[in-house]
Formats: sequence, C-alpha cells, structure tokens
Amino acid sequence: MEYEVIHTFLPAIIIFVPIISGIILFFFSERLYPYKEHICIGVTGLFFILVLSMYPAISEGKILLGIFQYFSFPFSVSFKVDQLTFFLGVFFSFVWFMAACFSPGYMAHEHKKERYYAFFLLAEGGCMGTIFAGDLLGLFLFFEFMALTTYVLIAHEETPVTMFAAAKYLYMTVGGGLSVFFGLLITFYLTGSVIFTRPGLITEPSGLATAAFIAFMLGFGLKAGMFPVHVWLPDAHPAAPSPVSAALSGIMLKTGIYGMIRVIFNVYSPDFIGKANWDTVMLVIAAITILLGSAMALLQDDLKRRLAYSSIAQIGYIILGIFLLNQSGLTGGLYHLFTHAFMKGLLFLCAGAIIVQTGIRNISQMKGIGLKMPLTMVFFTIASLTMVGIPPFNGFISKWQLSLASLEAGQPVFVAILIISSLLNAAYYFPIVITAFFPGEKAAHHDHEDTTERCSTEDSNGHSNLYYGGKLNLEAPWHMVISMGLLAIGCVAFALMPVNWAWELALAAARSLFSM
Amino acid sequence: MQHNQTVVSIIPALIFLFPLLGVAGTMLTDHYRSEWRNCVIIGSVTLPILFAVLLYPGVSAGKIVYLLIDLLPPAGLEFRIDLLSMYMLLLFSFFSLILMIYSLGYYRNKEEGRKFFYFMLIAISGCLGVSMSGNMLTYFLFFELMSLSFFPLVAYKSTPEAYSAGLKFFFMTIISGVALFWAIVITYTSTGSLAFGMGGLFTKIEPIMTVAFICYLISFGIKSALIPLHIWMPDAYAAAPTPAATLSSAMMLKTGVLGLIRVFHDIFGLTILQETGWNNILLVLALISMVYGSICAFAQDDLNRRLAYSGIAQVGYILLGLSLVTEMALVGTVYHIMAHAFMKGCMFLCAGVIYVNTGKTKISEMKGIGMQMPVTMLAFTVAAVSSVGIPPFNLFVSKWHLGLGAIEAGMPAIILVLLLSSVLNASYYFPISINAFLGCRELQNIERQRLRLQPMRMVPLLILAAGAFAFTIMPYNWPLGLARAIAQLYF
Repeated sequence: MEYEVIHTFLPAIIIFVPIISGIILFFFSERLYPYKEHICIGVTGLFFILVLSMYPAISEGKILLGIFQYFSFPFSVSFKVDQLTFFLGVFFSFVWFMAACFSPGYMAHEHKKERYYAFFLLAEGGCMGTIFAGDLLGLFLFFEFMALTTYVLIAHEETPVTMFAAAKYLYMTVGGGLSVFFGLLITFYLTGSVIFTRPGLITEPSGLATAAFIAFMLGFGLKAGMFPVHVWLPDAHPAAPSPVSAALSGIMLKTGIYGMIRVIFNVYSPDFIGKANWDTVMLVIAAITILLGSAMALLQDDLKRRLAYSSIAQIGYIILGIFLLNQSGLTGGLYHLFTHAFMKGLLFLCAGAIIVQTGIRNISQMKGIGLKMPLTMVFFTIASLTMVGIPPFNGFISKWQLSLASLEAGQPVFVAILIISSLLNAAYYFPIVITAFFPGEKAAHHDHEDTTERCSTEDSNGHSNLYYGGKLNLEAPWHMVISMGLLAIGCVAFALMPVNWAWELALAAARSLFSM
Repeated sequence: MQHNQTVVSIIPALIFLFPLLGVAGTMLTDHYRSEWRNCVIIGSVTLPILFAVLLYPGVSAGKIVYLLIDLLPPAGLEFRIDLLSMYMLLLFSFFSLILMIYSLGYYRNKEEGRKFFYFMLIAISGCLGVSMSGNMLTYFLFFELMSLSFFPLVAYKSTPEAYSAGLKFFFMTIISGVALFWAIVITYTSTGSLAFGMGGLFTKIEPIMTVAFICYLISFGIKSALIPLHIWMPDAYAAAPTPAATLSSAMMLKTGVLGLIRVFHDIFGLTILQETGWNNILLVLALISMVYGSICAFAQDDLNRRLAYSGIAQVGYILLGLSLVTEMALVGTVYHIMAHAFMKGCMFLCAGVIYVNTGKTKISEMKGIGMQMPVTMLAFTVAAVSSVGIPPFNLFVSKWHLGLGAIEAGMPAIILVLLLSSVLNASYYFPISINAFLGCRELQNIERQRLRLQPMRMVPLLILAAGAFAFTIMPYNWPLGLARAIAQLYF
C-alpha cells in the first residue's frame, strides 16, 4: 500500500506552538502571571485541536512531511505525521490537555506556578516533537529537550526527597540520551542517513549493528521504564506533582516505546531483528518487566508508588506486543499504549485529587475515602477495571489482542504471563477500591482519627484549609472532576461505540508499519 | 583543493601590531587623557577583527595571505594565513574583543586594573601572532610572548597563592619554551626548513626525530594542559582574575592545540606519523586526560578549579580528534576548538560575575544564587547543558564528528569513553545550576534580592551563551563548513 506524501510545515508549526508559548511564559512571567493557567490550558487545548485538524488528510492515507531546513546540526531535521504518529499524537495531546486542566486545582497552594506552567508547555512541546520528528536526529533532539524540561517539573516541590528523586531521574536520563546518541552515531556511520524509511536503514548484520541495537534499547528502554533500567521511575513518579506524574507515566514513558518502534521498523526491520534473535531477548525482558512491576506494586503502600510500579508492568505489555513482530501484536501494543495513557493518567489524577483534598498519600489510610470523595473514587474504580481488563473497558481489548498475537506467534507462555499479571493487577487495585467504599466500622473510626490528625497538621502548615470534622464531602472542585471524568469516559467510550475509532487508528498505524 | 594563489599583504603584521600599539596608547592615555583609555583599549582589539574579516573572502576562496619580514634568522618572520589560520584568527580576535569588553566591566576601578590591561593586550597580540605564523620560529616567538605576558596576569591579585601559582606557571612555561627550542633546532638541522604548508618537512625516518616529536609534545602539551603536564593549570585558573583565566582557556590552550595540529600535519606529515604510530602516544594521553580531568573536576569545590579540570577533559577531546588522524575526527577537533571556547568562556565569565558581585568562589556557597542573579545562572545553565553534547548545541556537532572519526579509525570503543566523559560533565555541571535555582525553598540564610545587571559584564556573557547554539540553528553552519574545508585540505 502506497502512501501519498504531502509537503507541509504544519507539523513543524504545531510543535513550536507550545515551545514558544512556554518560552514566552518563562521570560515574561511577571507580566503574564495572572493569565498563566489560561495560557497553559489554552495552548494545550489548541494543540489538541491542531493535531485533530490533520485527521482528514491522515484518514485518506496521506503522510504529512515538513523538512525543516533552518537547523544545521550537522544536517537539517524533518517533521512527519503518518498513521502511527497521528494515532499517538492525538491521544497524547488529549491527555496533556486534561493534565493541564487538572493543574490549577492541584497547584493552588504550590509555589512558583509560573515556572511550572512554562515548563509544562515546554515538556509538552518536547514530547510531541519526539513523536512528530521525521528522523532519528530530530527524535533525539526533542527526546533530550523533553527529558531536561521534565526534570524541572519533577523537582518542582524542591523538598530534599524530591530533589534526590529528580537528580536520579536526571542523571539516568542523561545517560540514556547518550546511549541513544551512540546508536544514532553508528546508524549514521553504517548507512549515511538517519531518516525514517522503509525498509529499515541497517540491513547487514555486524558487530556495530548489534552495539547500536543494545544502545537504542538501553536508551529508549530507560525512558520507558524497561526492567534493568527502570530504577528512576518509582522514585520520580511519587515525587512529581500529580498532573506531571500523569503526563510522565501516561505519555512520556511512551516516547521510549515510540523510539523502540522506530528502531524496529525504520532503523532495522522486523525480519532482521527476527533473524538476529534479538526479539527473543526483548520478549524475555518484557516478561520480567511485567512480572516484576506487578509484584513490586503489591508491596507498596504509597499510592503513587504503587501506580508507578504498575506503569512498569504495563510498559512490559506494550514491549511484549511490539516485539512479537507481527501485525496483531503491534496493534495490541499500540492499543494498549493508548489505553494505558488514559487509565494511568486518570489514576494519577485521582491520586492527585486525593492528595490535594485530604493530604493522604498512603493506601492504608484511605479506608472510607470513597464516601468522602465519591466521584474521584468512581473514576478510580473505572480505571482499575480497565487496568484489570474487564470486558467493556479498553484494557480488555488490548489484552485480548495481545493474547491472540502471542498465540499467533506460537508463544502461549505469554498468555499465561498476561493472565498472572492481570490477577496481580486485580490484587493490588481492588483492595483500594473496596476499602474506599466499604470500610469496616472499626477501621473507619480509626481512620477518622488518623485523618483528623493529618488535616490538622496540614492546617498548621497553611497548605490546606480543609478540616475533616463534621465535613463529609471532600470532593474535588468541578474543574478537576471534569478532567478526570473525560479521561474516565475515554476508558469506556471507545469500546462501547459501534465503530471503535481508536482501534481503527491503531490498526491503520500497524498496517502502515508493516506494509513495505 | 589546491592553493594556487599567494597574496602578499601587510595586513598580518598590522593585526598583531594593533594590540601592541594599544598597549602604548593605553599607557599614554592612562597618564594624560584617562577619559580616552577605554576607547583605545576597545579600538586596539576591534581593528584586528575588522582586518581579519577583510581577509576572510580571499582566504576562503583558496588564496593564501603571505608576508615575509627578513628579521629573524634563520627562517625569517613569516606570516602565512591559510584556512586553519583564518579560523583561529577569527576565533582569537573575536574572543579578544569579548574579553576586553568584559575586563572593562570586571575592573571598574581604573587604578586596580591599570596594569592588567597592558598584559592582556600583549598576550592577545601573542595569540593573534601565533595563529598567523607561517613557520615554527615565528610561532615560537609569539608563543613565548604570549606565555610570558600571561605570568603577570596569573599573579595579578598579588596574594601568596597567586604568586605561587604564577611561579608554577612560569617554570612550566620555561620548560615548554626550552622543549620547543630543542625541537625547532632538531627540525631545522635535519630538514633545513621550518615553514608550514609543505605537508610534512621530514621525508625519511631518523632516530633524532623521536626526540623532536617528544619535545614538541612536551612543549605544546604543557600549553594545552595535557595530562601529566597540566599541573600549572588548576592553580593558575583559581588564582588569576577571571578575564585572564578565560583568555587562557579560550585562546592560549588553543594555541597549544594549533601547534600540535601544525606539528602533525605540517612538520611531520601524515605518512610519517602513520608509519611510526606516534599519534597513538597522543591518543592514549588524550583518553587519560578526558577521564582524569572529568573525575578530578568532581572533587573541586572552587568553581574556577572545577572549570580548569573540565578544561583538561575538553582538551582531551580536541587532541583525541587530532590523534585519530581521520578526516572526520579532524573536523571534530577544529569544531570543538570553537565549541569549547564558547562554552568554557561563558562559564568562566559567569564565575567572574559571581565573584565580582558576591565575592563567592566556592560552589558550596552558591546555593540559591540563582535568586540573586538569574540571568547569569541561566547563561551558565545553557553552557552546562551544551557541555553534555545534545543537539542543538555546538558540542553535539563536535562529539558527533569525533565519534564518526573514531569509528572510521576502527576504534568504536573510544566513543564509550567520550560518552562516559559526557555523563561526568553533566554530573559536575548540573548540580551547580540546580543548586542555584532549585532546592532552596526552605533555606533561610540566602539572599533573594536580585542584583543589578552590569552591561559591560553581561553583554559578553550573553553573547557567548548565545554562541553555544547560534551557529547550529542557522541554515548553514558556518564554522562547520570551515572545519570541513580545513580537514579536506589536510586529507
């Protein structure tokens, strides 16, 4: 199947909308201070609409390509929107938009809001640039840009614990970036080009090709939270402000996955990787990632930490899907990528709402919280059900597809791993939900004291003006509820529609990658 | 590419004379018309850059500007501006202008900085002369002029540390000069010529050449702070006033590198080097420099010292590219000379601004300094990020070419050392920036009042910070084009 290429600067312009507005917000923060939330929400919303505006062209099977000749380090970069990047772009920009809408409520009592919003926009620009880049150099450029700007977001609270977690993230991510640089260099040396083409650039097996593959997998896997290089992730996610955790876990991890997809299909080719048996290694790593993430999540008491480990497990699913190297596996992986962006974004936003409204971070203190924050916990429940993979939700579709693909690839063992992991998912999400809505009588009483104590300390610090005594409804304000609600709808709506739009897009993306 | 045309011109002599005349002019105006002094200083470094720009079109079209003054037997005072000289000349004259403006902001008190400017101008004249010299003897002359006038700059603060650092520098310089003298004598007696541009003077391998090579290596190695000859550098940088340290880092180190490029490509020639494998000596030393400098930089609490050790690591990159003797690696070397000058220059100027404004030199005292001087620390952050070597910054381009050169030379493992050094770079620069801005929410004892910006200090600093990415985001990367043309000439 041939795709028509349209030359346009639209992708390049789209990328620079958030970056330039972020820079403006950063440098004119004093003058723009009263409008910072409006700018942030407005620009992320505009970004979503701009990405959506490319849908007609994409759905007709066209590819938008903009070669940006204004850079020369050492050659110019290009921007490209094809079926895959549109699929990722449209859903990611929506989650960014929701995280931006959630921010004003979460950040109400935080300091340095102008810096937060400026870097939020910069990080969005970097993240979307990574996805819309048309060659490896552009991908690397925006990948690093995103990594460095995210550092400021993670370190936002500036407590010693946060600073440590953020520093761990920073140095690991710099190492990962340099690893990608190594791969990029070898790719360029071997082929003289870094532009995404198909079939892939490297066709001859050699020692250098192997080294490049390892470097790419380490670099992108580090960002994605793959097993041996995931160690920054469980620290960084709880340390960051919740909307950032949502974006970090829901979206930024996926840029690593996206990089892997590009490496498989455009730098090498699926046949090449299959012949070299690299896929087996990666599948084993994916299986370890799934089991390890799920098992570790069980042990955590900090809600955001549990969510972070759960992200590692889910990333394992996606890596599993794409390294099965068949079309249905890729479709399942991509669909799960979208599913996970929505549900994990939603879970982190819920955790943020709980933290802001009650100050509780630990799961053991959350007994009965569903009675105080009913809507938030309903959304949390929806996301948990999606995570476990109960039929009407998105998670079911992706797991179904991944299992089918495993069987197709003749690897039924992965079906077993998926089932075990789903059980573990249930084991660590459902207790939260159940005790939230059905606290034992005694436990509720105990919790009551606990919460009161906690709220009073919050009071003395001046962070929160809420008190528990006598007030039963601690529900988050409407703008937070709306952004959570839209994500929750996203977890169900697509699966209930007669035509699953997201599924069609994922299918088109997978088809476009496999049609060579 | 062949050089067909040689243009005889007086301009090279003028270029190196202007700063020297500037010294005389500054002395006179200091005594009689002190309100004109700043104009004379700025004028004497602006004219060289204007004349250099004047020469540029001709040189870039393949001509060679040549001038022989029959003064210095046996070889004569010979100027010869080819592309490499042009590149270095533009870099040096640009930095001398930047540095003189900055020095005027650094020494606001005229009496305090009076003699400082004399020696700065002499050192600048030496640097410009080195970049234009057409034979080894002329090179030697200006090299010594530059080195000796740097001694008073190191000792300028007149503290005991400054004197001891100055003396250390002085003795190393003497060793460097003696070694260079020896090398020149050997070269002249065995080949009868000292001129550059012949593509290698030596024609056959003789045992005495080993001595000459080692002498060259010692001499230029001292100047470019190659391990284990670097010992003068951290002390000198910590003691010297910031503009002098910047002068050394951005320009004088590069004269050592330029000397080694000349030795490799003009004195010995590629064929001899490849037969003898002497470049491997430099390769090993450069690799050690890269790692050792970075590791030492960790341990330093004095900002200038940390920058000095980091400079050792960066010179390791530059010499690595030279010693790989491939075309791509030489592109990386030449480009990195420029990239390092901008990056390290910017950092030194920031350190100077911090010192002048707050009196702080220790990194541990600089917590929360970003509240006081956000612009300075933002410029520092740009330079720090550029040091890691990510696009769109200059260092990405140079590391890219160095990496390609390493693979071309069949040693891809060297890239790993390059990357290790980059990670170390990040881990000793980032904490400075991070502590300046973040993590000081609860600290009580830090100043939060913003300080006033002083244009004479800030403008050069911001220009250098912008230079860290200005060339690479242009449609045509002009220094890279030059570097490629230079490398093409040699291979």
